[in-house]
Amino acid sequence: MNRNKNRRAFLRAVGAGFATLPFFRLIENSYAQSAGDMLPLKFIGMYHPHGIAAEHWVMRASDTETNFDLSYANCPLQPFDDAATYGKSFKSKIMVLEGVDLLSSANGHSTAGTILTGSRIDGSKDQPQNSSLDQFLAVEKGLGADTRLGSIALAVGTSNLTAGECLSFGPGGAPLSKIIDPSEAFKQLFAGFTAGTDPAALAKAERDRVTGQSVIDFVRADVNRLRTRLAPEEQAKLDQHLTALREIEKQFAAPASSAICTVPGKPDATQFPKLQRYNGGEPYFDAITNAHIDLLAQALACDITRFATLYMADLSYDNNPLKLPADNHGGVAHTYAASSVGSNGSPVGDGTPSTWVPLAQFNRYAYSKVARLMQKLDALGVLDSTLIYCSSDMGNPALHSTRNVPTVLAGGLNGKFKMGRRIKLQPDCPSTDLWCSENSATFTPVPNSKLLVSIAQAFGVAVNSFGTQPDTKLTTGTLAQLTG
Amino acid sequence: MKCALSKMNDTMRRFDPRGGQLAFALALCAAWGCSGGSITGTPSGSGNGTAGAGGALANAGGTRANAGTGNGVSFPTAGVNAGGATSLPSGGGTSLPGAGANAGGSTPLPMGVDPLTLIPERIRRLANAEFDASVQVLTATAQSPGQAFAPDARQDGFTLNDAQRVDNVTAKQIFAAATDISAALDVTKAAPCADMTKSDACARAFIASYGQKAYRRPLSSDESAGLFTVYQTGEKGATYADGIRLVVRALINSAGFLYLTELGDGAAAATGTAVALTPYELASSLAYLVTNAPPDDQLLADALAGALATPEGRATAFWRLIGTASARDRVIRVVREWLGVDRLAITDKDATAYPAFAGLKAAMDAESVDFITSLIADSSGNIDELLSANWTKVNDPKLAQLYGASGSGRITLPTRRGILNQAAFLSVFAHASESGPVLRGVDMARRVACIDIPSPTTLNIQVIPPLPDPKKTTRERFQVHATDALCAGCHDTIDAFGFAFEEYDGMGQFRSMEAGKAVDSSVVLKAGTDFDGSYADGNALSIAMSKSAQVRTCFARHMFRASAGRSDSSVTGTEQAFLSYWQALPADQQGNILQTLLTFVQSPLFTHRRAP
Repeated sequence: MNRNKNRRAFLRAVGAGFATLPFFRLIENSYAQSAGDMLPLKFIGMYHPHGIAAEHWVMRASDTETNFDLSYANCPLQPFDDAATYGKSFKSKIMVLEGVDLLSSANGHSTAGTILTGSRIDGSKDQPQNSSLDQFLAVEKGLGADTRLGSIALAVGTSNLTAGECLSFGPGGAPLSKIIDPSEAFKQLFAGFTAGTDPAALAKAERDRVTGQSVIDFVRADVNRLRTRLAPEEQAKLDQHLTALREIEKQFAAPASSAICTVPGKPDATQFPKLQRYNGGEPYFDAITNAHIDLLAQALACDITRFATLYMADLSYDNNPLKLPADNHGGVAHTYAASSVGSNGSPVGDGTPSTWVPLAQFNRYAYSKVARLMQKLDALGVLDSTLIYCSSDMGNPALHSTRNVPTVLAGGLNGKFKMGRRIKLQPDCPSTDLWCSENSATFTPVPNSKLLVSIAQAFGVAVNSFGTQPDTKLTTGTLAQLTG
Repeated sequence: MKCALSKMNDTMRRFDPRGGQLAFALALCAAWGCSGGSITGTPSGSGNGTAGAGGALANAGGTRANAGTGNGVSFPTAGVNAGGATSLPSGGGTSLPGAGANAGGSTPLPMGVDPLTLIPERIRRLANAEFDASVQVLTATAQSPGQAFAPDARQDGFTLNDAQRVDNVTAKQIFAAATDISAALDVTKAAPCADMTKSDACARAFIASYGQKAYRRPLSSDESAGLFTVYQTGEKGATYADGIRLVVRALINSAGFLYLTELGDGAAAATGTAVALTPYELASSLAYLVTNAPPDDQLLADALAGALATPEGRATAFWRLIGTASARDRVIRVVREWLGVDRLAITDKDATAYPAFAGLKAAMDAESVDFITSLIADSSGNIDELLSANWTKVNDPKLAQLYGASGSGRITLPTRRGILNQAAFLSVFAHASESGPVLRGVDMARRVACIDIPSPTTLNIQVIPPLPDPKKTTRERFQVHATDALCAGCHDTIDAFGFAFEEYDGMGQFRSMEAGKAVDSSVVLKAGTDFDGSYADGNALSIAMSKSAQVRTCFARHMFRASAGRSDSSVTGTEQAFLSYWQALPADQQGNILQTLLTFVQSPLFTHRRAP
């Protein structure tokens, strides 16, 4: 690609609201500099609620692994093949997996916590039992050590720390705080970046660095003094605190990327006067999601972080743009009456096709956000080095089923997975016992742990198991299909 | 109308051998806002003090005997470790500063208390509200940056718990808040320095005094030295005030400020033995537990004088603190978090189904706060009344209208009994566009009656929520559970609780008809409880629960979980031990909210931890 073409692609990708000229120029330079190089791998976990209208989502009879249609009416995956809206088709950059199971052993609503942990949910604590993949790679394996932020957890609408409302978990499954305000996300990602060569600004930055570092030094010593007095279980709390201090410290250390990447404009907070679900935030969820996505894409392109999660909320409110019922949860997800396609073959029947459409519309909305993220990353030149793992806490939402959850991988991962495919994994149960028990010998799930192991290995980490299940077979091994 | 504090006075009398009840009652009324008038009750003398001879909980043989007339629970205090079950730290060789103050620190573990029932040594990060209160005390300002922090991690629904962490996001939020707080500090007030040629000496003095306030204990020499280095960095090339500000910034980010310790004085203790909290730790633990805020000067002075080492001393301090507005907020928070009513803040309704909800939500919230306040300040303060009161307090006539009444203030509602029949509870435990018999039933079974209801998925049951059907009542649709043998095992119990409240829709509005049919709220409870039976509706069931010993015990369990800040299997033994203490209360006090909270404070479970 020549520079002008890069520039055009870049400008296309930058959404309104963050426009500052120096930032454009610097990112663009960064982009140009990196063109042709193999960029570091990046990972984004995404969650959408309400499972899937399987009838419109699964492979159709005419589809093959590599040749499939996403353009038919009500296809939720249609945004991945919509050049008119997203500049190009991303069909060749996605992999759709049918038949992944989340073995949460919990209610569907508590199962988001299993997506990146592969862990059962401990009901008494309402949390999984091990850290999530993003944290495992970024913190425990040190892959986030080189960037300004080891990782970032964003969410739309809910900052609650329940298992069902989080994707990122620290050691032992402790839920990690999420950022629901794009202005706050902006601060966390870009605060401390000093732009320009103004001597006064540089002097202030240097003083901020010295004083900030002095505070961190004292606090670190203070935390360590306390730590020596604690039993190992309690020390884990302070280990997490020490990790967090290192993250703050990185803000002071002059980042290598600061020469080529500087602070973008702040998100326009008037676009989202309210943020919280159930407190009037819903009408702004769309704008919040977009702002998060745009910041995330820029942060990845600036190499400010390489690990992120984004928890997307329900779009339930009066007069929502999808024309869905105001109570999308009760009025769409719960009324979904599946055919045997969407109910794992049981109950056998035709279901109620009219109930599939609104859910498929909502699903399409969720995937449109993945497509938006892909578009931005692509224009900034980092899609091919990124893997997006998008899933939901349920398969059939009316059943609260955590089996056959919709699983979409997107991006390039530097070619480590073979993208552009649709894959049907093995069924969970024999045809004679379609809802066989998880304790039954005939239960043959494809736990998402295998997917997590494969991703970890693609990031160069030598592990062969991921997650916490009573039977370690369920957490061990890769998903061979990913590499083709 | 009199301020009906007589019950409270009785209670308080028992715990205040000094007879300072009247002052206490006045203070309580001021903070809790009794409904006007004079305060009844005269100070009594020594009366029924718990100290000493009354009902001894842990007698020599380790058996409990609530002998004779004693009211309240009596906890033996003196060094009565003859049983040898516990080895106590000697108090010598402590690494903590201010060792001279540790004289009263080695609270002996009463006989008969198994150290294995103690909560392990631990630290606990301040919850957001505690952080704010601590900043306010430290800086003498009203700022509350913690409100914008990532929300508190909850355990068993409670915000006070030892699962709070400082993760990447909160660390940055605290860091940013500390920067703002220190920038706004009035240095001339906080750290005046008359002679600027001696500014280093001023800085050292400031670090010692302000540091002690922030850490809620004196600083060690390492800590002081570290902070002086911070001061020098801030002052270098700048001013004294800049140095002071940087010290404050460091203090607010420090472990000493952010964590409460429950570690004792650091003397070597064999694994599994009891460790007594230091006087400073006792003062902080008590203050945050009762008032959500750091200890005041008097509490610290009491602690250093050894007063908190005895159950009577802790009772006196408890009743003094209860008379504050922050204690009132804390107690209300505990009760609401127990029943889940606080989740009204994150509850919304489909505006098509419940157009009035948004406008009434604040009034519903205020009702539950005012009702609990009045229950404690003006009435019995007992959970039987919490569950069965025929009155409530509303601040919005529209809410009274929802209840078929009129006016505002205290209103009598004979057919809407207690907190479970109030709009806040009924709205939280309902769906966005319909009532939620399963949500209501599960919450009541688990949190009011302590009936174990496993999650369907742990039983490998696929949950199929019933489809909307305009021709059926909610009950008819949810009845399907009971027809399936697999589901019926649990749902016979859940539905008995839930269906009893079917006369209330998803926002607590009374309805006699639904889908053109009469609503059926009659239930038969057969769950092996002491209140099994047939009930016409939620009022009848609430009244039955209000009289149940099982419900009372379940309430006590939850007060323990709220106070201990932990509820998982690691403290099952601790909870059992707490119940033993609580069961020694006279029967008429076991349902008292403050009395039950006090029982934890008076017990060795509060004062001691188990060495790792």
